[in-house]
Amino acid sequence: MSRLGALANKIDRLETTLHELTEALVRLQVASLERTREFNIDANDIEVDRAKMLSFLSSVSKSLLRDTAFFALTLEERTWQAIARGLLSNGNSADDWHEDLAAVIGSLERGQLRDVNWSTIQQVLGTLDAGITDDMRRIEGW
Amino acid sequence: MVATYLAAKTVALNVTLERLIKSQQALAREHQGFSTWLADILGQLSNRKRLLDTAVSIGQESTALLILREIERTRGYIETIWLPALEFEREEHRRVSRFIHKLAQQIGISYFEDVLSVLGQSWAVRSPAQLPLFYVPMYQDQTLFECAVLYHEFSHTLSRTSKAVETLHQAIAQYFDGILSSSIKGKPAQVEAQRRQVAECAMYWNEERVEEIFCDLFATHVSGPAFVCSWLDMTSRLERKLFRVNKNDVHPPDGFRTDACLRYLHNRWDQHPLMQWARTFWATQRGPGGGAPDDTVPYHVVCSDEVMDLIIKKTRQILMDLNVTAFDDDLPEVSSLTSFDDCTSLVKLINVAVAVHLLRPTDYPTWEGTVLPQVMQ
Repeated sequence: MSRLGALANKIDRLETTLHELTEALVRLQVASLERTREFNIDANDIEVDRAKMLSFLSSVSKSLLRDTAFFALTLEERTWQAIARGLLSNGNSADDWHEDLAAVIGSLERGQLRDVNWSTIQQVLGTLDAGITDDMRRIEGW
Repeated sequence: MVATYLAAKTVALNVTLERLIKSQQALAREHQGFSTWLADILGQLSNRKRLLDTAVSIGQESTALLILREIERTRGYIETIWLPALEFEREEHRRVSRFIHKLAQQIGISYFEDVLSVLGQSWAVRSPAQLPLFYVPMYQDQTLFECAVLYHEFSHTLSRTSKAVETLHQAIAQYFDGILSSSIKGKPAQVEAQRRQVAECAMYWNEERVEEIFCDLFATHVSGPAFVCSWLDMTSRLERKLFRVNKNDVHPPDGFRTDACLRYLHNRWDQHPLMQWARTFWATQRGPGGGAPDDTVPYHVVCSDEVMDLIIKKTRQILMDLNVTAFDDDLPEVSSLTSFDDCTSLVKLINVAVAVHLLRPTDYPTWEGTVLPQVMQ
């Protein structure tokens, strides 16, 4: 009956998402430096990572502009919405973020990894990470 | 600066990982499932450590810090939760774990491969669903009273294996979407204020709170009066406003939870003195209801009768779809309560335990002394 149950379930789900995305991020960064052979990374994996990252960033981007007065969202959509809210709480407007994300999405779509602004992706993933940490604090009473 | 820090952490992580792997390998054989699962987690941790090394070596410090935080979180779980639970397990822990496992099996939860218990804390569960760790009070192996609370915790594991909570959440969200899409009448400022209020209510019912109320109703469904009475006893001990809408609490208001459980409960026990006790006791505890004046989200909107009815109806349907068996047994007359000693059905036994405790309190210790050794082995 403590705060653990439901929150622990949520944290585990978000952590799985974050794990997958940080893994994709590192591989894409390696690929952007053309050092995949050195780190034994397969070209097919890079394609999978690129698609994964594109899908994630597009979802967050859509959530930024979605009418917030609509609540019947799927579990995934709620995750993207929470990230979008986290991004907006840092000061930048929805339009600014949308523009930054559009630039990254464009570079990824064109396969121009050298042009990707990694900092944008790091900030988005950092927001997801901060959400997990907040939830953990609520459980542990930090 | 960051590079030096990352170098220091990398060295420390190598040492820590080695230590964790040694501890995992030394784990008792009786918990093969947990041991294998931990080995898998440690394998993932080693992979993340390699990923960290990669990020460091290509000079991506921000990415490296992100991975480092993930690694530290997982390390924290293993070091502070799972390994201590396994390494410091004693016979009383094992006794409780066996009891919990049997309790779950009897209500149809068959996916627990193994169970771990930690004594000395408030009820809670951590899981992978198949390998749950239960936190229970210090003397859980010495009493049956309040065991019904465990059914609420079982339900948290069910939330991981089914779409039950998501389905309920969707139903509640759709309800609020419906209000927003209907024409709210009044002056523009009033309409806007009302819309904002409805939006706040919808956001209040996030997945955590929906899961908590679902777990309450699940426990009521599978254990009947036992959970409702145990819960009533617990709420009476908590010094807080029963109907306060507290946005910092992941649970819905306690008063709402109690009303919902009582409303969910089948009326077949209405004439039994145990339920008469429950309703009378709650009437003395609940007060006028209706939230607190400084609540930012008003109780009458966020926890309206309509919302409660929707939650109850939908949960009943979800549990029926999942084939979760409802507790449906008669309870013995008060005069024959203490002669009940059939330990075949634990859920019935726990209901009798609650009835003896509340209706024949002076007989409780002797009665419990006769049945407990049969179930807590």
